[in-house]
Amino acid sequence: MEFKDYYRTLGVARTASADEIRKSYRALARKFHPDVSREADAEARMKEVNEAYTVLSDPEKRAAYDQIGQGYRPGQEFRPPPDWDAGFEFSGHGFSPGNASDFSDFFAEIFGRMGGARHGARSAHGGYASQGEDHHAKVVIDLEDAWNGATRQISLRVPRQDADGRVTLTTRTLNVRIPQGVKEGQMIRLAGQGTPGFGGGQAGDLYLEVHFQPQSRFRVVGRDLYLVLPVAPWEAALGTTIEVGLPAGNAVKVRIPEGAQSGRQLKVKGKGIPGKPPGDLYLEIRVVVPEAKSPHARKFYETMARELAFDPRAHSGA
Amino acid sequence: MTRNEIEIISGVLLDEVALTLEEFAHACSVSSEWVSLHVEAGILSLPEIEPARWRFSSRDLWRARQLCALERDFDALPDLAALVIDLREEIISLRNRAS
Repeated sequence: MEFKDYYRTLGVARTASADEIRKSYRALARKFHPDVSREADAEARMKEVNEAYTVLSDPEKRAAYDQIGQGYRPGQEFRPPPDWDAGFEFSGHGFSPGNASDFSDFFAEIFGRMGGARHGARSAHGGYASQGEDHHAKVVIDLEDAWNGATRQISLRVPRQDADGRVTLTTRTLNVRIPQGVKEGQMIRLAGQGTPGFGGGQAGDLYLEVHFQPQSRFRVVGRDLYLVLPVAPWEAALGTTIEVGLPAGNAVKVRIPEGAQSGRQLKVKGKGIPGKPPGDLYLEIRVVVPEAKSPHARKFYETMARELAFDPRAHSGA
Repeated sequence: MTRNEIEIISGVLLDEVALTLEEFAHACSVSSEWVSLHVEAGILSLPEIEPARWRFSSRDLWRARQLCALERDFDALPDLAALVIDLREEIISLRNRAS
């Protein structure tokens, strides 16, 4: 395991005041926030910055880190001495199991012992009981999985406490059934799959935030699907019926009305992602004009220009 | 269960089964009071009914967890944090529309 220099991550001196650390964190959080950052590794950098701030903004953790980190250089192999934390009294603000996947093994190795502050109540039997923490994780599925449901294997990094009270991050693999009709951003609640309870208390829950793999054809809003539908000029002018393939592999036949124009939207009710209620399919007509490459094609266009007396700018003022 | 069998865990879609105040506070790692204050201030929008009947959706959970982080990490005032979350939602929606 590599030693992490949290001071270097935040770009502050080892003697930095709490205010300097906070200022630096805020500047870096703005720089690497995934919504605004242009950096390729913004998300990973944001996690590092968050971890460093979690340690350096907490006086207890900072003091412990300073003691253990003496003489280590960034990237150097790190092995904490036994009982290094004797003499520190932690108030129990260890890392939240719900955020465990955001922290490094290095962090878990040092601060694992600090976790475990439990908020609970005396149980009916007089013992101390508390509910386990809820966990949160993201899962990315294919759009077609929303039609039929799917089973996904998910690996989570979760804290485990051994007999000595020491907490380490371990990988836990779950096979989770993704229900049919799930929407982008929707949460799936897996009861009892969070941290085990204490003293007979209930286990916490696992919340999975669902996202779809980015894909080029469809835009998804809730359960509604949006698709640009290219049509030939004669299909738009005369009307036709077009078969539109859906993400699940099935297809729907859509009637294009006579005189359809580019930009017009057709709504096909109930043909979006299934669910209660099912989403709708929105098709934006885009008329694609064939190029006049051959003499024959040119002649067609010249005949149209002569005989149709059509001014596309008649109402635009151009 | 034998060693070769794979246990498949089924969950429920939040929104079809919404969270109570206590469940929601637990899922956000905040107190019920924190949730109540944010509902009363209109930052988490719910119908005007008594707290025992409040039900929270996926979107509420997403918003509340981010609100909580902004307030903690930036000492952001709740209304300012809410504005940031509103803008984030707008960015996500616009990026989705542009893609």
